Amino acid sequence: MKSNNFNKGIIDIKNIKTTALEKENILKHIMSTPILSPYEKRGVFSVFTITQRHLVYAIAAVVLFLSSGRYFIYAAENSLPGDALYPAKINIVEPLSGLLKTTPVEKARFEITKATKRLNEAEALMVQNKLNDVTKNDLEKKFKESSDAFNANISQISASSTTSNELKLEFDAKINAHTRILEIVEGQASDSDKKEIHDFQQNILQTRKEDSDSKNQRDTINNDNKISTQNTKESFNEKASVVKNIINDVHKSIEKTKGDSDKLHQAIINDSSTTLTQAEQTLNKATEHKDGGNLPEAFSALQKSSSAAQEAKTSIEDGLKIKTEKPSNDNGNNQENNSQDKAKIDDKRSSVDNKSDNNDSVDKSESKKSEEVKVEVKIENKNDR
Amino acid sequence: MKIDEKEKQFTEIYERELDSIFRYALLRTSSRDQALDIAQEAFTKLWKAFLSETQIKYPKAFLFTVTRNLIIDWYRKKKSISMEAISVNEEGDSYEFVDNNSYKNIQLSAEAREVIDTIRKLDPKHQEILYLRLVEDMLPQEIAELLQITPNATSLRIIRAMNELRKEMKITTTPKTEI
Repeated sequence: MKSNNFNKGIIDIKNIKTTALEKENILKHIMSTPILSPYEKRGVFSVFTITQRHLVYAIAAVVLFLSSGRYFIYAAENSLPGDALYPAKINIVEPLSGLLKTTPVEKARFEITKATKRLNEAEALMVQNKLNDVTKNDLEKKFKESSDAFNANISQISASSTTSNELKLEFDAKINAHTRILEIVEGQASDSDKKEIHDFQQNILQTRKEDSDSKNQRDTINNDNKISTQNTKESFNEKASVVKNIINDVHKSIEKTKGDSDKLHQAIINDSSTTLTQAEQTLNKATEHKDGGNLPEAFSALQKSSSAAQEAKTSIEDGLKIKTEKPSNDNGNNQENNSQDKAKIDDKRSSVDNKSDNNDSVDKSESKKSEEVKVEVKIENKNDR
Repeated sequence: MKIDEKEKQFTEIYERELDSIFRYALLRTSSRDQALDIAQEAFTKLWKAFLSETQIKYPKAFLFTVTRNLIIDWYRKKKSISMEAISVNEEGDSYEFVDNNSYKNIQLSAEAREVIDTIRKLDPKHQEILYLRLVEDMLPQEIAELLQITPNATSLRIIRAMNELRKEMKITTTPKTEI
């Protein structure tokens, strides 16, 4: 190959080029490529990066704490004596809730809540056959502490105040409801547990009787009636509407329980329905008295109606919380007893079922009558206080 | 360096070297579109290097190195050839691919084809260095940077390559392009 041809060949190769359009397009594509500019990058140790990163971490920590704290509180709230979180419930969660209560009224209500919780816990343990003497005594002690604290807060509220009286009635209504629940639980428990449950129930009632000055309470009720008469019919209508709302709410709650086939729950529902019926009947009587101009009697009946309505409400709300499923895994020592107890309960239930199969209508009407009698006696007892 | 200055510097290099990179890729891939893609990719990498404030002494060598690697990747995908099919010298450098038809799809003058044919007849070690020296006018320092050999070794290879070329061309005078 000649040198000239070689040189020409080199020049021809050098003339292999891109077109102007190709050059422009390539450059456009290069410049439009998203490349992180070093001016936007932050150094690892830059102040802004550190601050931003720490802020993100702090927010994440708070969110995590709040979310996990909520679950912790929820788990603790549902714990029972003997559970790992129960001490946290008693010593951390409840005291923290108590710190938020500032007025005597709020504190009194809080003590009602705490006392009721102890009763809930006792009932749950009874159903699960886990209530031993130690736990029973501990719950009774805690109940008494709440009852004492309740009285202390009530004493700070004016005796002539309707709020004080309402709080007392509310507390009593809740205790009455729970004594009824305990009776139902006792009725379905084994013979060995009956006495324990009965003792617990009586101790609770006794505690409440000792702590609350029943005479003073009666006087307060009488004073309250006198005050109510001063407010005449407007005051009565207001309180009556409150009672009606409670009654309606309980009716709705009972309607929602139609699918619940649990025997304990059914018994509680039936009992609550009966109490609710009494509340309605008593409210009607109170209205008749009001219309007849007998306001003292009207207010007296209204209070009874209010108590019965609150009692029915508590029965439904707290009673249906009781889980009747017994734990499948027990200690070896308790397993045999549990199976024996279960057999006894099953025998009892089957015998009850057999009875009801044989004498359906008669037994039902009789049981209903006996329940009505019990309710009537209870209301009479309240009047005696 | 400010972004505007970087962009200006890059654009200057782009305007100056795009055709070389394109040509280099075209003669090895025999596809205009592929060569354009490879060129764009190579310059994109250079632009990224600019933005990351990487110091590049020889931008041309950088571009050619990137282009070589992209061509190797393209060949692997296209022809599924193993590493052994790529001629490797004793020092471990890779040179021209063994592809006789790479330039036949390109519109070249007779003289240009003759140059390529002549170069392909030489020792593989000398083929690329001659191409870079004679066609792309790269300095020995730039070639050294590209081939990852010392400048002295580069100069020596260039001399040997030119002697072999003269022998092949059966000419006694050195082609116009000198060392």
